[in-house]
Amino acid sequence: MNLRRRLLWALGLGWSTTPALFAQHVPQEELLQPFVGGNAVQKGRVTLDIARLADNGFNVPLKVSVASPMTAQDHVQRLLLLSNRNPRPLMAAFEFGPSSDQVLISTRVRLGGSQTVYALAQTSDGRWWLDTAEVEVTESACLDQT
Amino acid sequence: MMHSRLQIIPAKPPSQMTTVRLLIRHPMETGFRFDVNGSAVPKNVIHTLSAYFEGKQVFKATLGSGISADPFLEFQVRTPQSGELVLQWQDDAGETGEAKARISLPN
Repeated sequence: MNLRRRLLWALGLGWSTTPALFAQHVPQEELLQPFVGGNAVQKGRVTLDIARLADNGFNVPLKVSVASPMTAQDHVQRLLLLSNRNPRPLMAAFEFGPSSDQVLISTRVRLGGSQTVYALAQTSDGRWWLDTAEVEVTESACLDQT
Repeated sequence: MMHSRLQIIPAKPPSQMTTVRLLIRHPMETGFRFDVNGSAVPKNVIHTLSAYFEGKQVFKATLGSGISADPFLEFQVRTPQSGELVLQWQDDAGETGEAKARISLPN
C-alpha cells in the first residue's frame, strides 16, 4: 500500500480505491467487445423501453423494438440484452429471420443493482445498433455473493 | 413437462404480424444461490427457446440467468396464412417443454 492509499484510508476514502469489493460497472467498450469485436456501434434504430426506477431487481419488465424494413436484403439478425453490472452480462439473445415482420420483444429481466441496460442489434449488413437505459434498482437481485 | 401459458393475438390483415405471449413456470436458477444447508443450488435456466411456424423456424431466443424466474416473453411472428405455431424450449437439467397453437386468420 503506497503513501497515497494510506492517506486515503486515513481520510476514510480507502474504499474508493479498493477494487472488486462490490460488483463493478463494466465500461461500455469492455462490455460490448466480446459481442461486436472491433466493429463500430451506432446509436439509433433500437428503442429500449424500461422504467427509470425498478422497485424489484428480480423482475424488471422491458420492451425493445428495432426499426427495420425486414426484407431479405435489410433485416435485423440478432438482438442482445446486456447488463453492465450482472455477473453474467448477456441476459438474453434473440435471433430473427427475414420472415419476421417486425422486431418487438417484451420480457422481464433480473438486475443486480442500479446500472445501465444495453440493447444491441445487428442488421443483415453487419452493422451494430445500440440503445441504452439507466435504471435505478431499489432492491437488487443479488446474483452473486457480493 | 413444464407448465406454460401461451396467448396468441392473430394478425389483423393487412398486417401479417401475430403477437405471441409465452409464460413458463420455471425457477431460472442462477447458480449463485445457496440453500438452507449451505450447499450451492446448481444453475438451471431455460437456455434455448425456438418458435416454428408450419415447421419452419421463425424465432430463436437464448436466455440466461439474467431472465426473471417464470420467464415471460412476447414477440412477433409473420403469419401470411393460417397455420400451426409450435414453441419448444430446453433447460439445463435437460427438461424440455412445448406449447402449440393453431393460428387461424380471418379470410
